[in-house]
Amino acid sequence: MPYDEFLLLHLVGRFKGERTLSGIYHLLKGKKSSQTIQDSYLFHVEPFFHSLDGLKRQDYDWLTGKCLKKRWIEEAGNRSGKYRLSESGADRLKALGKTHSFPSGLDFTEHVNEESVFWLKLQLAVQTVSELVHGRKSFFPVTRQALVTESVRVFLRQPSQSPSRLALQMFVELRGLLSLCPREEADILVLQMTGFGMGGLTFHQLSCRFSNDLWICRLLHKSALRRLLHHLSAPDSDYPCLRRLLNEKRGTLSLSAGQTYDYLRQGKSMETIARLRKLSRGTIEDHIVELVLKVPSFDCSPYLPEEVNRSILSAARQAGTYRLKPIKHILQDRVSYFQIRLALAKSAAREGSADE
Amino acid sequence: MSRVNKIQKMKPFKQELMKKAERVLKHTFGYDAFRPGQKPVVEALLSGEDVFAMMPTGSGKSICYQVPGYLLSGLVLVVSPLLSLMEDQMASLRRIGESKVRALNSMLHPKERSRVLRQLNALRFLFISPEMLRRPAVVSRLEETKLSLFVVDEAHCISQWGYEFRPDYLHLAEIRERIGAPICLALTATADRGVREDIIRHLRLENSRQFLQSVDRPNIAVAVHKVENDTVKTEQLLQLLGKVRLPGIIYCASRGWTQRLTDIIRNRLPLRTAFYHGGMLQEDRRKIQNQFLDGELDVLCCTNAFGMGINKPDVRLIVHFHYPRHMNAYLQEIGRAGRDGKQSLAVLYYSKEDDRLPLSFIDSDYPSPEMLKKILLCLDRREWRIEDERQFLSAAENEGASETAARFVWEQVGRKPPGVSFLSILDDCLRKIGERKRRQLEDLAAMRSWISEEGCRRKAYLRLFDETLTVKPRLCCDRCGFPPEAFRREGRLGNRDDREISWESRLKRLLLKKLS
Ligand SMILES: [Zn+2]
Repeated sequence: MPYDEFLLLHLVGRFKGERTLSGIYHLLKGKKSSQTIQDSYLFHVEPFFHSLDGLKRQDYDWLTGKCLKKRWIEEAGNRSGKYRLSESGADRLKALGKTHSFPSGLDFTEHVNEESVFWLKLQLAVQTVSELVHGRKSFFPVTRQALVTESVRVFLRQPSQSPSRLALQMFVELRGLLSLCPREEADILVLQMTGFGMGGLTFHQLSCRFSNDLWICRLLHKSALRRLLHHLSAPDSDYPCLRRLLNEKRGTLSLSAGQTYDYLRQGKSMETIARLRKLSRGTIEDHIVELVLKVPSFDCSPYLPEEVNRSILSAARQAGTYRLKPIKHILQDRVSYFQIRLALAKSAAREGSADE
Repeated sequence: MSRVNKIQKMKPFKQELMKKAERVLKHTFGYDAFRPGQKPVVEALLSGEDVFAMMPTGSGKSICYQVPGYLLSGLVLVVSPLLSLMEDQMASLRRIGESKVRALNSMLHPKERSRVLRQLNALRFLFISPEMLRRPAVVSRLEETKLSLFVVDEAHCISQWGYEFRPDYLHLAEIRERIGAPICLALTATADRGVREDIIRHLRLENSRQFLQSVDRPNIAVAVHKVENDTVKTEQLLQLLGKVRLPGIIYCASRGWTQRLTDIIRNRLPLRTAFYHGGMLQEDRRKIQNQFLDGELDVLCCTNAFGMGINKPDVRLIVHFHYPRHMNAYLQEIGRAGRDGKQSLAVLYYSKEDDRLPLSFIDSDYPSPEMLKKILLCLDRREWRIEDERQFLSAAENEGASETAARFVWEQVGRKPPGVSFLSILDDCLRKIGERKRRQLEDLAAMRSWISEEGCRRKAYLRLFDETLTVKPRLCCDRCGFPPEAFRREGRLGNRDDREISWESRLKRLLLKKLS
């Protein structure tokens, strides 16, 4: 089943010969670098960011090797290390596109930084309640991560709730949430859950059970999980019990960028913040780019006057690329790399919100 | 008071205590009588003697300190090398309703850790990792706590010659002195004489009572099958799995083989099968472990990463698809069968091809001289730092060292005397490597000669541990001969994977208690 090929060819096509194969790997793994995060907006591939966090490098290399051997992808420019679709690759993608698609739940990316921890918390909460309700006091927890254990401990301390009442409420809420998912996604999510007398299945076991590709199983899982998070966190959501497993903090901002945001709102300058936080100016710049991408109300005009923004965007159109260097060259070095990144981020954020 | 007098006075007191111990055994643990080997250990501990005890896995080692825990006043401190082991022991205590039990290890949230440290005096049992025991804050809290017993579990980890050497174990004797020298119990599973001597010396137990229980497990029949190659081996394994009693564990030498065998078995037999190895995500490993414990698997294909701390009483079959590197490991692994005392079977397959594997493993356990020199030079030039263990290990692994080799280097550089260069310890390290390799090759040779043993296999392995066979079980080994139908599986041939797929019914089974 060529689902893995479909995925890789789709992404190579999106990156239009402007990124390396490693860049795509980092995207799928969800690497928290500003480059990867920015790229995911720039090339409209946010749904794939962190979509395969369990991916192993050797499996990915095997896939890219396969596509290279079949000459579906080729290097863009001599030894650039960047890849684009070949003609036959584009044909292959088109053919695959007739029978394959990506699960739509991947688009719910609001909680992407939280999804892995939430999934562990949910599994541990279900397991603990399941064991309690069946009267077993000791068991092997699915995870031993201290952070997860601690927040599930807090979760279980619901006032005046017996284990069986808590279990019932979790059941009702989970059933409500899961019936909003396609059946296959819901099956995959629940089959992974561990509880009394039932060990959850691993992805490998799931793919055997459904005679499915390991890749699609992982994506279906991620899609289901993101749907859950999306509905759970909706303003009118009616899942008071499970909601307590969510982090009620600022959506998807990284912790460090969040702190920078706090300082900026106190009116501190970039230099002051860098000194106070003992960080380099480059790091603070990364944070500001992240803020532009993720906080719609954030105003970046102090760093990027409107006319500079306009000239950068027209230079980008002229150059036909999102690469920083050619743009800077066209503008004869009158703008900084930071400003170019801001302008590109701003336009990507705008297009992204127009899509919805 | 003369000595004779003292003993006479002790005697009724001792009998009284043992009566109490038996009452605890019955009312708290639900056992009618001590199992062989447990009683003398408990008796010695209750009369205030230090004890060194070698007991085979599955013989109920933990009862030896659990029962005294209810009779002596103060905290029982149990040093344990593995998280899963601690968890298993905590779980078994909680099952009998004990709530005054906690564990201290690095996985614990700092909040939880300080919670545990605050309530030490209210606890009956504390499990602790040797790393935690080296923290000054922990030791000073223990100094203020009344301790009844100092238990060293898996004490073979103290031996540099042991295959599971843990450097932190070397400090235990010193720490025991600092926290008031409570009565000490050192417990180990199968260990040969060299390892036993190491344990006694490092823990300063020269004057302790020593109880060495036989390594023999009479309810496990043992067989070795020589085959031409892997294909024949696989076919024979499939035939075996088709007819003998399960669940079973199949030990393989590599991660790749565990996956390969799982696929083959799943395609050819109606059995529920999964694989387990150290390269899997921690959560996935835990899932497979839970499936196995809950009886959802018939066959588990795994590497030697599986087993420590797993206590499933009804395992009926252990297969070695590749042979391990030493007899100790072999006996520990087959010892995971038949913990309930019922008849079980251990089969080892051997083909000439297998002889390459262990040698390459032994080589990869240590850094090459060139690699070692390079790392030491980097340390001298301050290109590498030794503050952070994890960073050091991953840097060494980037240089091509295996995980075990990286650990070896870490352990050596940590012991460098101050004021000399890192390079100066090179010769010493190389000498150690040579010595350890030689020792491992000896172990390997013993394993191999056991495989080609012509006489009774049970007699042969007992000989390696300086024991003689007194009573031969009816189903002993392939050399003594046993009828194959003795292990035949009754009832239907097997189980297809019958796990509930539908999310809604599975969720019901998880969270809603069945009305019975
Ligand atoms: Zn025999």
